[in-house]
Amino acid sequence: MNSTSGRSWGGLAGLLLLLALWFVLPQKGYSEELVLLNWEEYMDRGLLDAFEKESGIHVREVFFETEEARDALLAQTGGEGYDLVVVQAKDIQAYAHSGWLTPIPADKIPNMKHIGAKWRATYPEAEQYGVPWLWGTLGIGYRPDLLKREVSSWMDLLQPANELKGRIMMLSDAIGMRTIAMKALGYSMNDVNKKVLEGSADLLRKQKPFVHTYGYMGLGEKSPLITGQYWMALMFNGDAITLSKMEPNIAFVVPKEGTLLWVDCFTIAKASKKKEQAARLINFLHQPKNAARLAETVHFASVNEGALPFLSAEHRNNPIIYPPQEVMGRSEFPKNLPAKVINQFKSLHTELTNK
Amino acid sequence: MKLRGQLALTLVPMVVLPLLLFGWLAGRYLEESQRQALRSEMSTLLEQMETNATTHLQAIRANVEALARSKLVTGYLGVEEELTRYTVLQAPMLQLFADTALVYPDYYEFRILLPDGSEDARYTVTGLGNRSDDEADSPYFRRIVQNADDYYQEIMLNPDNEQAALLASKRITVQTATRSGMGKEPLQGYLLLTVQPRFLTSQIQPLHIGQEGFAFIADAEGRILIGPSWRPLPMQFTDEEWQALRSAAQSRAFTPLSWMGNRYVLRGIALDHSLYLFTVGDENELSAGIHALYWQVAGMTLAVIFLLFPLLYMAMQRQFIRPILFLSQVSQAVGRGHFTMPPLPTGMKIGSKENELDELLAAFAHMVVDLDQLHSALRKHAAELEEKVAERTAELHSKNIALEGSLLTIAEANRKIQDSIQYARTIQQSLLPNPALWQAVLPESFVLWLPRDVVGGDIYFVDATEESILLALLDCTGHGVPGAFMTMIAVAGLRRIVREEGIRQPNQLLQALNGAIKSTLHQDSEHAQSNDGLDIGLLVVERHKQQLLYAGARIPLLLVRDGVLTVLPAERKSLGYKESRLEQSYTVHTVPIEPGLTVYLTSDGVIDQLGGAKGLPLGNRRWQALLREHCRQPLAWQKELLLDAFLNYQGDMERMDDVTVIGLRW
Repeated sequence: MNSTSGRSWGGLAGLLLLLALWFVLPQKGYSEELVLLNWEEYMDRGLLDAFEKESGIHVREVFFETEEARDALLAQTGGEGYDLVVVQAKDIQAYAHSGWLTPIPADKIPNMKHIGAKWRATYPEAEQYGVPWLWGTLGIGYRPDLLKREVSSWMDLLQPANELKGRIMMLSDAIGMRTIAMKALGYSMNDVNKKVLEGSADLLRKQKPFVHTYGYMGLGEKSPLITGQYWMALMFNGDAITLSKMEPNIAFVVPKEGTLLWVDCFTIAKASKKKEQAARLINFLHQPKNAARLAETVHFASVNEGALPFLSAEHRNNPIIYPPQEVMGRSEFPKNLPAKVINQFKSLHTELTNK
Repeated sequence: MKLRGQLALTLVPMVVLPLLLFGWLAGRYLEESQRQALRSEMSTLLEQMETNATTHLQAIRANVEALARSKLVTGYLGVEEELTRYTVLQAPMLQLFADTALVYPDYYEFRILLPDGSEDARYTVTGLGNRSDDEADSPYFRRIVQNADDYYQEIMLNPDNEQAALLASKRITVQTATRSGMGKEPLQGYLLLTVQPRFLTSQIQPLHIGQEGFAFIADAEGRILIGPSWRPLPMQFTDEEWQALRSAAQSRAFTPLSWMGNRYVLRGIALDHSLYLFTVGDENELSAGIHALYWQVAGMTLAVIFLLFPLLYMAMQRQFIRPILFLSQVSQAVGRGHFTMPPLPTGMKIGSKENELDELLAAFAHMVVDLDQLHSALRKHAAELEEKVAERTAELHSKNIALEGSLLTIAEANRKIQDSIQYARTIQQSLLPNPALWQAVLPESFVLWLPRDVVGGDIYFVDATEESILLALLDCTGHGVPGAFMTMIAVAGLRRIVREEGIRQPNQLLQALNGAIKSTLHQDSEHAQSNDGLDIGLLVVERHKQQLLYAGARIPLLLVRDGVLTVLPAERKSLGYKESRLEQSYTVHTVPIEPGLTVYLTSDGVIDQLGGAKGLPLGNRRWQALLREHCRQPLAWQKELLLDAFLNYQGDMERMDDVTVIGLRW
């Protein structure tokens, strides 16, 4: 072999080595990655970076816009490709029965001790598979400056005035839409007699001509509620606060009839190959300081009682985040809904959102 | 009939009849074409519908099977627990159905039925009410369950809205670890898709075949599910009607049907067990159309006839009759002495030579010109002739007077001549044998002696002794008076030779007579002025020897024995004439006389007579045939028969010569 060909072979070998190292060695300085399936604008990115810095584990978020979209992702993949999934506590049992979730390794999440007992007891069947994280309400976000009046009832949303035609957005949540309709009629959302079910379905069908979109409210500067495209929306309380920071004319109300209470949980996908790492992240996020920071970032209430001291007064005293007792007393967690009723809710939701 | 009328009558078979025949044939052809067109249209539409339906049904099946295989559907049915299915799995599945419905707007209801027929999930685009969420007792669900194939489809009336719909179903079998692990059957369910059959209704509802024809779709029980939007149809066929139609659809044959008070022809296709496509043609409409067609064809044919007939008539009249009429007029004018060609009618010209009539016209015009010139010349010539005639008339008048005097003289002279000729006849007749002597020696005989003029050149002579009878027929040169003079010379000579010189032997006798004639007429010298002579047939009957001797000069003897005619030839030497020799001899023929023997002597006036159809001479052959024909008759009859035959042959022809016929029998 002459010197020229030797140099050529050497160069090629070096290139191959570099390529191998590029694939083998972790990039950006982390050794592994966790995939978090989550709502958009529902995490403190700084915390995840801090977790990465601490653990060397990069957290990549994959967003879904609606619960149905998340369910479709999981149904099609069986949970493959995801490590953690944010799920409402009411749905965890179904997820687990679908074979998508793995039991939470509680021993790997010692910070679970900071979680208020009542939140873990709200859906006991979910405790094995989920770690409560944030809680909140559904209510009406609206523009009183455009509407020229205050909103106090679900009927303002469900039997809207003519001026609201095409100016309403409804959160695309089968249970949420149906239960607030049931509350609007003055019933418990867990009252599943035929009259209530038919009445609530009828209410939503009649509202449809006024609804511009069934979906999820965007939380950026171009959010339709900020721009005034929407004057009224069914939305989560924290999302309303986020928007009101950008547009002070946005108001939020839990109607007088009461509302739906919800609890979001972290879950670990059964298909995940990094269950321990996932547990480590959950534990990190439930460090009280971190939990407080996260709550303030997303403007929702944390289930982590150890985070309370770390919350700002503004956050802690915000009645939208922490509703007063009278609101809480009128509100409910949806639970024990029979499968057939769930079936009806889902069918109607599909009907409304696909015409 | 005038030529115009003949022309009109000629055009009828030439033009009218063929056009009528053509019109009838055209009508028949168009009628058949109409029927074929209707059937062709029905068949084409049916095939289009079949292709369209098949394509869409295949697409529907493919979509249903794809949906049934999707993870959202199999994952949904793979979870036994209802709460789980409904909570997390149904919405994505329903969203899949919704997304599918966006792509296929005719897919308006998606359902998941459990094996017991209960409805587990339902998505509908139209907000269609659900009559029941338990289909266990539905006839179509039973058919789905009983169907051997996992895929099933049928066209039906949707009980939720009583409208035609296509129902497609796929049986789904899902293996789950829990179920199979527990020894249970794989979970099954049915994906049902209800489709608005717009791919059929859009084609069928507005369809017109002709004006009143239409198409429809029926199910397996003969219920009409989709029909024309512009006319109502019964909902159901009778059993009998449907049985016939279903058989026809399976065989794809055209079928007549009396239906809804009308006559139709149908053609159908059985697309599958539940889908029958039919196209319907209205026979009454077709018949009405055919009748109208026939009226149109008849009208057009008559129009063509009424248009063409006068045009042809006018054209032919202009082409043929007008020139003829023109020529007729000109001919009449010419006949009246007007020799100027009148102006030609429009379109006619002399000398074009485009056709024979033009050539005739040109020739006629030339003829008129020539006639005019000739007429002028004739008039001039006539004037000259008139002048000359007048001159000659005067001249003739004077000559006529002279001629009249001459005529009187001539008439007197002619009278005298006729008197002389009549006296000459008397003299000649005195030369003929004594009838008593003739009858005594030749009792069975006849003589036809017919001089051409009052007197003639034929004579006959007889002389008898104890030993022999001598008979001679003489045909002397010429006829009339000259001939008569010769007969006198000849008879005188013959008499002297026979009676005074006692010569009775034929050869000698003829020689002696020859010498006598030549001597009498000085034919034996160079100064002879007469070159006359005679022909003779001489017969000597020797009584005791019972034989006859014959010698002739240019007159043969004809013998008939037992009906057989024989000719004894004569010498080709006449007696007399300058060229004859004194020493010439004559052959003597001897013939035994037997009972029944008949002989004939004939002068050449018989043979040479012109007559018959062609004006030819009678000739030896015809004369001998006449003798054979009548030879067995009594001689007295033969005379009349032969005379009649001769005169008939002569007919209107002039007598050529003297005629003599002598017949003898023993």
